[in-house]
Amino acid sequence: MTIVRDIDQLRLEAVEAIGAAGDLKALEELRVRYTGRRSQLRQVLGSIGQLPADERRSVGQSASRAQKEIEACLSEHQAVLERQQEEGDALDVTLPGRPPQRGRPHPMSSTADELVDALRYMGFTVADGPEVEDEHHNFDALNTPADHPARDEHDTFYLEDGRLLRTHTSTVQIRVMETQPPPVRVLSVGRCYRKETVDATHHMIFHQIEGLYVDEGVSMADLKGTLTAVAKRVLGERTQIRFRPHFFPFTEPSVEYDFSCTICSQRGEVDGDRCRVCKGTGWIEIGGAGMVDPNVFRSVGYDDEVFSGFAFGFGIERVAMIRHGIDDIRLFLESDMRFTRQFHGG
Amino acid sequence: MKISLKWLREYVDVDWTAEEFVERLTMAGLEQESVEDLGAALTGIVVGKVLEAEQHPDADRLSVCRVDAGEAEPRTIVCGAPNVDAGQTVPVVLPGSRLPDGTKIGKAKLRGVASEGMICSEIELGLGDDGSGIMVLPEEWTAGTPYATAGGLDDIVIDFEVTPNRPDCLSHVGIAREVAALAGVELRIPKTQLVTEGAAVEADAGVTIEDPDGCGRYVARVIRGVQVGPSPTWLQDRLRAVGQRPINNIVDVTNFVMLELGQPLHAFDLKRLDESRIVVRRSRVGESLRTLDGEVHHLQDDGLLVIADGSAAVAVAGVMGGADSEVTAQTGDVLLESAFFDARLIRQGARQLGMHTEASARFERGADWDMPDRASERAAALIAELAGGQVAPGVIDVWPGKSQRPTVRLRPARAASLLALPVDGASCRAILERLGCEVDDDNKDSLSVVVPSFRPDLEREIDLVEEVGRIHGYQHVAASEQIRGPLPGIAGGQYDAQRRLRQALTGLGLDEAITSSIIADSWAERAGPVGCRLANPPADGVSCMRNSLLPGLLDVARRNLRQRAPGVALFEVGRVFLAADGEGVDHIEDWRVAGVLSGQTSPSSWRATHRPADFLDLKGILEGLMTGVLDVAFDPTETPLLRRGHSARVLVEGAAVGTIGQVDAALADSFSLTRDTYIFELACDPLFGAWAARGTAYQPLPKFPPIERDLAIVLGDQVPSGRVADEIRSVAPDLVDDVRLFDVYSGDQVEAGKRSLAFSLCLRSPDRTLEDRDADGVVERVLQRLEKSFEARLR
Repeated sequence: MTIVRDIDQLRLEAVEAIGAAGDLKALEELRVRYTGRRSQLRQVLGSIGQLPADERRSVGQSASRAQKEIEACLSEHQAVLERQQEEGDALDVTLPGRPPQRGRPHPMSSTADELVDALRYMGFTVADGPEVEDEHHNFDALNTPADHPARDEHDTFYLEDGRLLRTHTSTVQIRVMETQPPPVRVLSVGRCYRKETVDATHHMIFHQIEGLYVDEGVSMADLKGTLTAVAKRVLGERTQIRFRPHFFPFTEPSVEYDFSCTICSQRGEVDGDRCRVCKGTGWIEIGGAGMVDPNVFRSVGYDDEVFSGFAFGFGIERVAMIRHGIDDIRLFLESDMRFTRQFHGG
Repeated sequence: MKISLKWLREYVDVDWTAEEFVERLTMAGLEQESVEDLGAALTGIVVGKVLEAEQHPDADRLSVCRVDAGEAEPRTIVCGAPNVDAGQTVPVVLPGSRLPDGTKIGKAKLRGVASEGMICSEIELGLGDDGSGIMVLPEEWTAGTPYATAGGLDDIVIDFEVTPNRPDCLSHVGIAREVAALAGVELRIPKTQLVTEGAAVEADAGVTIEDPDGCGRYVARVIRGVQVGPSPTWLQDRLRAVGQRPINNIVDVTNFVMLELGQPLHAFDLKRLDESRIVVRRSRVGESLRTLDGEVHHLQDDGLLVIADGSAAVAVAGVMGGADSEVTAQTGDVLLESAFFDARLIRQGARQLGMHTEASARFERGADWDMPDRASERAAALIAELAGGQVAPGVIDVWPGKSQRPTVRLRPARAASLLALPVDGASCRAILERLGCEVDDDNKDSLSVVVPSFRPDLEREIDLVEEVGRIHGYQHVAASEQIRGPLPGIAGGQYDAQRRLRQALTGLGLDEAITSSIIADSWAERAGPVGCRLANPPADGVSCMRNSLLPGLLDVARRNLRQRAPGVALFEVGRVFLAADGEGVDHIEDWRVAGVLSGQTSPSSWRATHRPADFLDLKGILEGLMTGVLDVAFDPTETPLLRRGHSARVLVEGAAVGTIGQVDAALADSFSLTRDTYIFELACDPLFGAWAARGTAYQPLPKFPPIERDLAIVLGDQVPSGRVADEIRSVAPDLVDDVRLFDVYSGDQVEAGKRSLAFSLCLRSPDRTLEDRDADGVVERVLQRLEKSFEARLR
């Protein structure tokens, strides 16, 4: 039974050699030597037929056992060596990546999108209207006749032919109501113009979102519910709103609405200093709203005894300034990348 | 409107703090602009009595004073003022306190004498301009009293912003009425006891209203024999507290009554009125008038309402009096005007002259036609009391526009449903009565409300609804949480499409910009015909509504590059304003999308190759935007502003939607940009139209495998590669799945004037597996076609 002993010998020798192999190349050489076509084992297996019948069985068994053990040993050690190689070849994962270039949305746009989304959940649809308008849609139909004192507050850019640049997006309300009967629930989003001296809080070009809802039985509770939902969406779930009576020609009753200051949680101060955002009052002035004035309904042919409605407006830059703590409205139209690249949209 | 709380408390009795006044009135619609504690700056300043004043032993100009400041022992104070003298009552700053300008006063030794405080001048206390000597106070002031208390400055003044619909809130009594209504307490309107003597008023004066539309009522009283002089302290304090400068007892009374009751008054020197007559009429050509501010106005017959005497205009009605009839130290007899002028005319007049005064502010908003006589009576009585005159019996009250207080019906149920507040007839009535309305519940469903004359804004039911809501308080409106779905039938604007476009372009690496839509004339004129021009532009030479987004974007690029950005990649989606192209259209507002690449815009990652932007970078962005969604093509073109040979029309689904290219040298220079600046501008409408119209049906996946063939050809270097690719496709449109250019070569290996283009063709049949010979056949046909069309040969 020397053959069987030789096979055993060979097996032990192979296992030892494999265990000592230092790299994958050496291992590959051993694989060829011990399991290749010309290896001793193959030769033994190949010559079994020439052995006496009584030896064939035990030689065959031990040769194939040796073969299996060597193969198992090879693949086990290969895994070990591969792992070692990978570890030795580690990437510096703290190197900077190569991101594809990505642009940034302008904070005015992303704030407008946010407000539009909030209002869409409440069933508002976006409508569109021109920026160059006539006196009728900008003033007269909105209960602001030529001698109305409220016109003083809207310093207006006029074209040479007497038309004007809209001073608010309320013009779109009129255009929508002129073209379709109630009920309506629309938003208008866009650019407005006032001939103001430009400073940190005023610009001659700014953007508004305006909402209008007309139906039977619309009340101030609906207005408050709508604005509360927007407040929560924009400044967070705990935001409260309040109405202060005010005056606008195209709404009656009219209010200005404030959001509770989420910067100082209505304490009026942050780290001992007066809160910059709400100026210590706990409330942030956001915009104007009210129930649509019956004269406006009359100008578009709606029956003010049957229908009631509310309208409200947001200055988009103003909301963006509050959300992001921006202190100068002029930054919006400058589109300085050092400014716009700070915002990620949303 | 500045309101002194001390003054206000004369008319209404509430124990609110200043904070409560602000809060409660804000929530009733009177927003505060500022709150000022008048005495705050004078803390630590007390009234002192100079007991002795002696020459300083070592200084000619200093006096050593013994001053009683209400303490156990008199203080020694060294004073440098020339007018200090024993027996004076003076303001004293005690050591440890500060002057209003912040200067801290300590104990000091002046030339060897210890001084325990300082006697102050007007200027040092911030109370006036006189710095020549110390302030001498009224003798009756008690030593040790805080100056703020003795001087009537223990007061808080709140400046309220009054909305244009509330003329009644431009007075202390008006604000007091709001307070009374909110607190549910009584309003105390000052009562007047007028004593008259002498000849009846008609003996001395006459009033004619020639323009009853402009002047609905004119009340005149005459006070004879007045002594013009300074007003008493209490009156001066009232006026100063609300920021008015005392002038003399007559003028001060007119101002006081205006601030108290809201009725503007004017006092004429009766002797200086020609024929002692008042005529209310429109201005005439050739008239001139010098107003109290010294301005001379040359009048026209343009409808300005004036007050004239027997010969000439002497005042601008409701705006400002004239200098030639004003009350002076010599005035003996006064004619007191108290009138009701038309809001519109006064507004026009004030604007015309650019003079906005306390009087015009009140008339413009709509004055109270019932007030002139009461205010006149009040002022006449005060003048008689303070200036010692005699009020002539009777009153001239010309009242052509005699009005009735309007009656308005209010349905409490309507108020409750609009306001979403639990109000009923009784609560509506209570609120309206507190605001001065007379209410009659003659009908079970509605109230009959007689509106007071001082509330011209209450004309309709809805106006009363607002009053009920405002006083009841909107904090009680519960927010509705009803969820609603969208309503059908409203044509949406482009908002969604624009938003998708914005998101896609930021995803493709462009930063969003927003630029001004009012642009410089020079830019607009260069970009094309101007559609809209402003008549009152914000600046000279900046009067055009943009007719292209590009000037604005190039300007943003320039400014960012100046801020050392290595490169810019920007876009804007916005409106342009174009000249009308048809009858009956004034202009066209068109949405556009434009982009610019300039400078180093390749990804900013480390170890990447940095190179300037080029045409293909920008084109690639448009391809990235549209390929696979819309059929987009680029067609060489020549267009202003773009470099020849480096610009193309952009065709979407075969229709031109805009241009793309490299800016020409002149344009680059005018924006201080380098030549490697590339721009595009496309119209949104056709783009969105194509977007909306594109098919949404799914294409079945191919069943059979493709065969790939590469093909390199040599042809003239002026032949556009896109045309070659199109030609290849057209050879076997049903078999050519894709044609992709993978190499362009010109150089030593090909002859001059030629270039080599290498395409990879992907061939596939929808109904069978192609074999090599099929592919060879297609390639053969392609080569023949390219040879015929472009004289191309296989490389």
